[in-house]
Amino acid sequence: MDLVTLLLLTDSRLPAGTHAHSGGLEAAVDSGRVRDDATLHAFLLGRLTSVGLTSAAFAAATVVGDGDPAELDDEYDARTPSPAQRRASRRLGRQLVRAARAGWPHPGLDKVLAVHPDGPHQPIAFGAAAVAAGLDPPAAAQAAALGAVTGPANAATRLLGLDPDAVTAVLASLAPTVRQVASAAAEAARGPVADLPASSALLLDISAEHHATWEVRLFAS
Amino acid sequence: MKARARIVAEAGPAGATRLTTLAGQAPLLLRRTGPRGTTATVQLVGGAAGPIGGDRLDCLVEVGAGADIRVESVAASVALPGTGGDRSRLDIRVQIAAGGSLVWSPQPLIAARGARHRTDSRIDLGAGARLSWREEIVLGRSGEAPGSIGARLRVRRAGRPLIDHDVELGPDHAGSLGPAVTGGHRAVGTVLIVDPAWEGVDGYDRMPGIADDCLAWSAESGSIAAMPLTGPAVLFSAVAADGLVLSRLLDRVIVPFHTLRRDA
Repeated sequence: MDLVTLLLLTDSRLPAGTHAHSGGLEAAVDSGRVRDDATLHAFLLGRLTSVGLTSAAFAAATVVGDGDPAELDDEYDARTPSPAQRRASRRLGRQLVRAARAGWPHPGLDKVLAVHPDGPHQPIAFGAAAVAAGLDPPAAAQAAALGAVTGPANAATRLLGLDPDAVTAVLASLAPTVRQVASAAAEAARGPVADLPASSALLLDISAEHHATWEVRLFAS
Repeated sequence: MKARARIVAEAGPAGATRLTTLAGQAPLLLRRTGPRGTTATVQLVGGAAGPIGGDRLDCLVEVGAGADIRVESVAASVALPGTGGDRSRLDIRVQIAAGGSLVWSPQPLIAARGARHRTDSRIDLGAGARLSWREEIVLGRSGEAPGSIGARLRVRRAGRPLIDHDVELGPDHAGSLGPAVTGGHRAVGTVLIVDPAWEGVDGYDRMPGIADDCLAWSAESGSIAAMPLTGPAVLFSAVAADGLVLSRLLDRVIVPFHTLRRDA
């Protein structure tokens, strides 16, 4: 596993569209549930151990599977009840595959793009990009688990005007949990697809649907 | 404690649903109630306290082609800690054949302080099967700290995954009581409605106006959203300050399914 490749694939400057999404943070800030460093930490922790685990497991399973991304995409779709989140996930997946194809051309990226007209779900796309770039399942799981918190953390500096140093401290404090979640995800990825984690976050689902009705919003999700 | 319950429903002559098997063991006792007719109603009667840590409970439900059943419970159940810190576990396995119909609407499960419980529900639907599946969880009895609870609902329809939804809450699950998951609400619930009449009907058109209704029903004390799935189903998820607010929110959305029933 090559560290430079991993860093490139997880760099927030990769044109994969993640900057336009807050991972549910915008709605949480609007409701007053997230307002400072402590509540941001609590939000990111809950996101990481629920949907973060699920997405990391699917990213790793896509690397393990090396076969049928359509089955994984169907299973992930069933784990994403919110239509707003399904739309966001497929849009991010499609953009990620486009960026990955430029950097690491691979037949698997063409195959994964064909699973759905709107693009593959983001974790499946990330797994396919990881295969193309030569990453192993544990690395894909770590990158996906980390991605579950870094996107919303970046959004926090814009939404709450938090001190970026304070946000870095929050992220660093979550690093041990990112490792635990990634390790559980990589373990699960070795088992049957139907048994992959399905951990969900109720308020993320509910507020994603409410957020999608806003007329003016800073982030797409 | 180990216990097992089994319900088998078949469509009899003249459209009445017959319960050809109705077998339970404490704490999973079963009683048929209500008039004999198209729909057979079964009550889950709590025959003992619990589930208690270490309990291993199995519930099997088979709904035959054209049969129509409704499963309810008389009172809320309370998940309690066992002596050794073991988890209690309830496995529910359901098969509904084409044209069968099940309404599953038990009272809430309350996770008492120190409890460690897991419910795992796996449902297989034939094409044309209808389902309304309601689950409510209350975190702790009144004034009590929450126990830990997990509830996974996995439904396959004609062999394909329709929904797989795992809710894990309480002190065993880091971050679950925070602003991404419950946001400090003490009661959470879901209602899944699967109706083959929605095949080919786009998202929110399955229940016109429901998204706006859910927004209007949502407030500080409780929040709900309607989520049309990719298959012909809608999932409602809600969080609320307490069990009463939760059940009022979910009661509002239960209504549409009955209007879609064959005998309505």
